[in-house]
Amino acid sequence: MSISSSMVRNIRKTLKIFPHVRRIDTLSAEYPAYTNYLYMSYHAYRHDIDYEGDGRSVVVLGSGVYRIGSSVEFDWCCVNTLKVLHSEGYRSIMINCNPETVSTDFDECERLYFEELTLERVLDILELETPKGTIVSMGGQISNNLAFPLHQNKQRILGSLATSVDEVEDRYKFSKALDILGIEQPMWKEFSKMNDIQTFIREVGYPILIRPSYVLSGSGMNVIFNVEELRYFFDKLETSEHSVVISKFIENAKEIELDAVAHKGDLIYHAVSEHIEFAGLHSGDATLVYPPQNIYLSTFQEIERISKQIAQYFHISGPFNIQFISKNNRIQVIECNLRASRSFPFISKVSGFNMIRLATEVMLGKLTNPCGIFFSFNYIGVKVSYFSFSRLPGTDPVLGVDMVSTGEVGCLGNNFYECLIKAMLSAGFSVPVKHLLISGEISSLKEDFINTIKLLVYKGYKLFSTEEIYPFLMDYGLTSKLLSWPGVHHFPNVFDYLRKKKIYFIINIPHNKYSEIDNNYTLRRSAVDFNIPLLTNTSLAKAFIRAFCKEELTIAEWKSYLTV
Amino acid sequence: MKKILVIGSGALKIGEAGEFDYSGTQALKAIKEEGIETILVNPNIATVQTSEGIADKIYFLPIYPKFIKKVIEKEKPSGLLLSFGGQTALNCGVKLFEKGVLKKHVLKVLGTPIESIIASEDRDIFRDKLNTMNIKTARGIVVHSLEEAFSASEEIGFPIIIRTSYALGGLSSGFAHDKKELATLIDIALSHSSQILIEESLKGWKEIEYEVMCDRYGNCITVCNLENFDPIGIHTGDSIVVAPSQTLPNSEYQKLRTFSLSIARAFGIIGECNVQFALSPNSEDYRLIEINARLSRSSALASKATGYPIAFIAAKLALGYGLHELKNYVTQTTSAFFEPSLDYVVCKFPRWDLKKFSRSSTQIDSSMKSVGEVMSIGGSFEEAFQKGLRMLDIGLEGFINPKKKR
Amino acid sequence: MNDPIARLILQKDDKEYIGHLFGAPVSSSGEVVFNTSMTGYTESLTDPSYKGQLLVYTYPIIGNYGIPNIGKNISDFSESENIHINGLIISDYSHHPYHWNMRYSLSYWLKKNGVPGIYGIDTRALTKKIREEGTMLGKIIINHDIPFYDPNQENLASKVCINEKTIYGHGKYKVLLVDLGVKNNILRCLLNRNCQIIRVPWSSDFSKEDDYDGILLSNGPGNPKTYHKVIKHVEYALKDNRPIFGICLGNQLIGLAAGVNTFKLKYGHRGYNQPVLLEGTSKAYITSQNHGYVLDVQILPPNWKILFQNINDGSCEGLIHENKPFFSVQFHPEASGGPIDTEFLFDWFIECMHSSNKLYR
Repeated sequence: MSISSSMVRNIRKTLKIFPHVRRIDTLSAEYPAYTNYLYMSYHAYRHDIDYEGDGRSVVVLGSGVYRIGSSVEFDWCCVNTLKVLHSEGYRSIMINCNPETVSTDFDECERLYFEELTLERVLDILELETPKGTIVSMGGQISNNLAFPLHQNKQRILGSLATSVDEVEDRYKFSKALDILGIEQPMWKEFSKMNDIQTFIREVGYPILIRPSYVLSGSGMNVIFNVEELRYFFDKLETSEHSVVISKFIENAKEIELDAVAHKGDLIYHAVSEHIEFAGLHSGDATLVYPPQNIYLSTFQEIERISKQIAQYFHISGPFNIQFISKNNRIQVIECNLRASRSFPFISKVSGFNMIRLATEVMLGKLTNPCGIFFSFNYIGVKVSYFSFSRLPGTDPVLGVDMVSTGEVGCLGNNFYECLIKAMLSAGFSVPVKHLLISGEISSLKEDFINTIKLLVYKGYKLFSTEEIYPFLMDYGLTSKLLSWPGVHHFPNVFDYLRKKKIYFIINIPHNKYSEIDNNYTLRRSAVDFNIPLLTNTSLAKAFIRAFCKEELTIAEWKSYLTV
Repeated sequence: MKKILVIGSGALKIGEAGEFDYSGTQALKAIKEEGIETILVNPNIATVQTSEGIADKIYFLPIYPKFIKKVIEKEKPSGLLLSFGGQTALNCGVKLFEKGVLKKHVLKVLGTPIESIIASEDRDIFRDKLNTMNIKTARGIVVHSLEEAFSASEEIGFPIIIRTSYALGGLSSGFAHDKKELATLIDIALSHSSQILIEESLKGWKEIEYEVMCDRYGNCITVCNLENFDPIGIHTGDSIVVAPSQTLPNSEYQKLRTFSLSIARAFGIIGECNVQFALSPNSEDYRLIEINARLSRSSALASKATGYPIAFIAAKLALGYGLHELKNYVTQTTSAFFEPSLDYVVCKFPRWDLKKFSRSSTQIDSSMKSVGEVMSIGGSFEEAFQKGLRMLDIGLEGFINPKKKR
Repeated sequence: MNDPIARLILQKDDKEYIGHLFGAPVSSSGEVVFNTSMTGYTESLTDPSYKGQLLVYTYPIIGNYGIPNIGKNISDFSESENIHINGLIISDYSHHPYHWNMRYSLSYWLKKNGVPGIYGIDTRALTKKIREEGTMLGKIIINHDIPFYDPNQENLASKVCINEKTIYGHGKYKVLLVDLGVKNNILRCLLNRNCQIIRVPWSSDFSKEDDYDGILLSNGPGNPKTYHKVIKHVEYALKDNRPIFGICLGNQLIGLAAGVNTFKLKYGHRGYNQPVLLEGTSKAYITSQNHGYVLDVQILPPNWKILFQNINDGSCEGLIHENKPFFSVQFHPEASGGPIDTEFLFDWFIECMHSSNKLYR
């Protein structure tokens, strides 16, 4: 017999089996203590606290466990939401279960439930608290996924409608909506069988992007270049209750992000930022620049227009984020989330305008006027991802559509290059003292990359290269020292040079994922193990080289930028 | 003290994650409360500590001596807090000390003196100090040949672990139970490296941690102890951890607690430190594994597990307060000099994301691989354990027999 | 949950608390007190100071590491040979205990000693009740009902102390130990410090003894004011110059003999985390405590000073005489269970005997 969890819940309630709320008071109840630090237990007879039932509280759902793709940024969003709730005169109630966070500091809210972010437990708490409403859009995907089930259980969600959240999260429904709105998107189709996919691929051609619905940080997402890779992907695929969506993957396209706040369908604030890397790299791993430095005014306007349309269509109230790709002046939407995104804290701090404050005020129903947009010619911010490959023995330090960074840093500077260098240094890179090694795939090394290499040579850096790259550089009149692969017992050998720390920086552009050449993997892995900075993306490598060949760095505190 | 410089931990990484945002934020609040100006250096722009109203000035700059030095020159602070930014901040502080930057700018390291930090991190000084205190540490001998390995094994006794620092910079290790196994392992190890560490094996021993607070008067408490569900050999960060310890009778609990306090005093800790022990499952035998003379992942966990705001109090202690002069932050009436009593059980579960990485191994061992954690609180071990599994958001309903499911 | 049902009834409550039985299947009553320590049930259950009490653990899981071998040897992991509590009240009993030196399960040991236990009780709710309404009488009912029993009406020391004078050890310092329900660890602490112990029953007239270097008044159960005889004897001893050291009940008796009053705390100190401050210094210690009565030190007799103070509630944690080697503490420097941070007080005592020895001879 199959029985749903909601049925069990109802039976349990009829039998009057309830968990009770207990206080954490550090003294095992030995002295009276009126703390706001709570948990729930079926072992308790009665609640340690009394409930007001006055509808003056607002519950915020936290981000739960940190994982790749959901981390401290959502903690920042939650903490800021709590602050606004407090200043607006509401009792702020936090539910979260992650001990690494500030949002689970009982000092940050009026009441902290150190509890599960499961439907069952959240309902238990909401039924006791009877709040004005619940905010699900600040804790990332885990809390956002509860929007619809909570709504089905007659709980009031503050902000965008739970049905809208559901429509946007379901890729099928969302893509359909874009079609209705006439907004361009990469060609897509929903599949469950391998056979149908072949027909679609014949239509659009490789490469394609496969992704299941309801994903954060691209888990299960993949770019597929040929039929072997496709088979490999399906062999690994785990069955999921949500659909799999396949879309045309557009190469060498620019990726642009929009973080915004809307009020009842009207866009009232937005921020546009750009990636340094081309699309295909997960946005959580990409290097983000804000305000953008390389976007046409027309692109800006087009993004604004599309965002307004989407905000209106889904009647968005609160924070949201849209990812665009742009190629040859064609703007396409690739993803949308009706919640605060990973980049909200970065965007808010660079501009000095707290988007979470605005979003929370909107969700509380406070009248809010359009706030204009931030733009500065005086300084910019760059966000760089941090990778923990050195902690994971044997892993290949390559980046793709699946997010692998564990953290990020963001710095401010007077110009792009200064800012980038600060951020890259913060993320553990170092400026090479003398020798650089260039290796990997030739096809992605274009003319402008050669110009960057020339700048290096001009600055006095010495180049090393591996077998494919050596003649390629020669063709452009660049001399480099050829190093043989680790497996080959030839001198000079790459491995020897790495071990003796004769190489200060490595650029290795990887081949496609499944047809990996082992020499390149060994080289990349050794770079990580010997702690030699490694870049695997041409766009970022170019930017970084240009950056460290440039000027002095300024030391200035946050607020001094904002007041310029 | 008018102006204090606090160094953050930078990007979140495996082994150094959100806990330092939490502890740094608390420390900044504690200092601000005293009317002292705070300067924070941390390039992690997504953190709470780098928000409006936490520190007076924020520098989004790399945690490198070169940059910190420039901030010191510009801001001229009189105090420096290193213990709230993990190993990153500590290493940077030690470099500034060694380069004479701190001396030149008459910058005082608050809390645990920097010499103590260095002593606690140096294997040799650490071992010598504990030997003089008659506290046992795991025995280890560096060898260069098979003969040396044999004599080392006689001195230490089987089973032993052979650790080699081999080509790719990773550590390889193996267990040997007799001379024959040792010979085989040494043979392989010598082909990779000329130096091999032979250490007594503590395989299967319990791993117990104590979180210690100490003030400048030498008053010490343990905020809580933590017992690893997984034995020695699995990194604490990858282990399920339970608070308080579940399998230790009073005598074992108090013995390790007393050692923790005397170690904290001997190293001159002012603030917080974390002491890790291996405890035999078959006797009262133990080994001290390491101490962390700074806030750690475990201290954030211990704070949340007990309600005792370790980082907040540690910052006050660094400013010169005595533990007995501070109030219990939770009750507001009782003293901060006390040891929390729990009337519940706490479990911490790690979460891995290894599937995202190409060519990653899913084996857990002595180096940490998890990217996040949850903490569950229950009125019984079962309740806490089941909650924890659900909190991980990996599709588990709890520890249930999958065959019985449906 | 196959264990039979057990009921807990409190004198000040019309409600019945339903739980499950472990230990001996007999009804039992006594004074309900709680303890906030997280380990050390073996030590507490064998601590004579708990005589006649129904002990509630605020820590929910009890019994995890079983019970070690408990014999007549004072070097064992216990505070006496017997269980002194009348019943154990807990939230969750560990049915599958394990430890390398475990001999029995807690349930088996309780059963062997005829003491019942009840689990499945919300001990936090119970603790809050005791905290708010003060210690109360209660009973654990298995089959048939029994009347409430108030242990404070009795002289409990006679039930827990030895019957005749016993000598332990051959050390240099002769300690006259007045046994009011002494914990084994006090004996161990003295024996480890080169002492010979002359252990006498609480009621004996120790003023008749002469061959000793110092007196130690032990811990023990009940209301200190019921010990008229001992107070008399202490008054006599205070006239002498030989060192006196009092622990817990011993502290209260020294106080009463010196002219200090005692009163009952609303909720006693029972746990391993009680902070005390050495008066006039910045030295603070975590102590193990188990007492319901305390000295009222608003007015102190001449020549007496406060030695320690509780940092939480400011209550008196010990007295010291200004010019004679007399001192006493309300907490347990011998711990067991609990932190041993104040074990140095035994060294003080030895030091006192050492220097007064020199003065004498």
